[in-house]
Amino acid sequence: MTPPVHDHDVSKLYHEGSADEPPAALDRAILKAARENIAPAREARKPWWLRFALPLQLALSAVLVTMLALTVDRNPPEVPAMTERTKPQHSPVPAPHKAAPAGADPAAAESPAASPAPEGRARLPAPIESRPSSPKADRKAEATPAAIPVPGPSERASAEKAAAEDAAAPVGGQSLEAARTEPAAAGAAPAANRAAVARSPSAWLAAIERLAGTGEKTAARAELEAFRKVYPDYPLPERLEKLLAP
Amino acid sequence: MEEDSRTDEQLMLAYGEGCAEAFEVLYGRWRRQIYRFLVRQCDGAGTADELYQDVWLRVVNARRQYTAAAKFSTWLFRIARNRLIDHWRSESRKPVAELPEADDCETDPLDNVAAPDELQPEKIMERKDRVRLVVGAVESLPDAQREAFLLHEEGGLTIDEIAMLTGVGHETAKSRLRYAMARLRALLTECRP
Repeated sequence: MTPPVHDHDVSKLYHEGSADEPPAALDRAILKAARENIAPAREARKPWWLRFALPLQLALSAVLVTMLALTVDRNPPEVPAMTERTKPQHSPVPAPHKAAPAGADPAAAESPAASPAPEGRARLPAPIESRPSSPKADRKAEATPAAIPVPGPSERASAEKAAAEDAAAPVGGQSLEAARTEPAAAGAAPAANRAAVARSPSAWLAAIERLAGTGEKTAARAELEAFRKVYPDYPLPERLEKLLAP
Repeated sequence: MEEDSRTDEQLMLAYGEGCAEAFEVLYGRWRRQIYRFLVRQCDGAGTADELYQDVWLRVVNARRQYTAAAKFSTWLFRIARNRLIDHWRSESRKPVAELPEADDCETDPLDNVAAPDELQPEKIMERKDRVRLVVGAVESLPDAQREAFLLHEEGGLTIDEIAMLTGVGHETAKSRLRYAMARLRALLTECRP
């Protein structure tokens, strides 16, 4: 007869006598190792708010960059502003011609409504007639005595050009010769006016004085009359008044 | 304290996800069985303690790799058996897996493997306690039969599970278990007054 695979009596006796147990110290060591094995994983878990650390950092960086860009755009550094201001000085194009493209192109960035213009640009939309055509002319106007009327834009440009030529050329040079001969050759007031406009009051008076000194008092008086039309309040030298006295 | 209704597999999966309490429940369920499985097959309690700790540490370290593809007890006793074989190899003892495979015949070669002198049936019969006789008889069984008996009694494994775990055929596992039972039964019969 084949023996059975399972014997209930044997099994029962065996389990009754199987009182062997692992030592308590061994139990503690194993349970401790089991807890320590999962402890690092628990420590590695980040708080919930730390999961958003990277997106928050990126968002804050984007906001800072945007604010910085807007600040720089609204308050440009001084150096670029000065460069923009000095540009018209070197431009040979006259002021009225410069203003035309800005008015013809409303989409241009010069318009303060089109875009937030810097402070330097925000002061630009003043009337063209009331502002100097260039900083150099502005300085020139400040240096002029208050009694002298401010000429028109075209006159001022011409006078400025003449003054520049006076400053560049030696006294008694070619320009004075031309001033001396021009009224005599032309003999017409408009031409004299144009020539008068093209020179400074002192140079003009000096030319009139020379003209009177040569004996051409009629021509000198006519020239003086033209001078008075341009500079009505300019004080005349006493010597010139004596020369032209009747 | 209420008994945890979760299965062994669920507890092990829970421990794999970081639940230390699940491991404590699992450990409480299997600590005695694993210990006895080892201590019955080792030379001394010190060695069994060392192996026992190694087995559970392997369980702890493998918590993430565990899948419920097989019964937890099968997986656990496989770890214990592998650790035991490693120990035997280090002791230059022939592991169970290398024993000649038994078949389902009456002349099992394992029957001829003699037990140590101090565990001969005559000396065991001197023990007054029948329980102690059975326990001692288990230790006197040939390795393969003892292993099959312990896997069956301590691990509660079926013959198929024993066969799968030990890497033998169904009939071989069944034969080993059967002869182990027959030997123990014979001892009990001899001791009966």
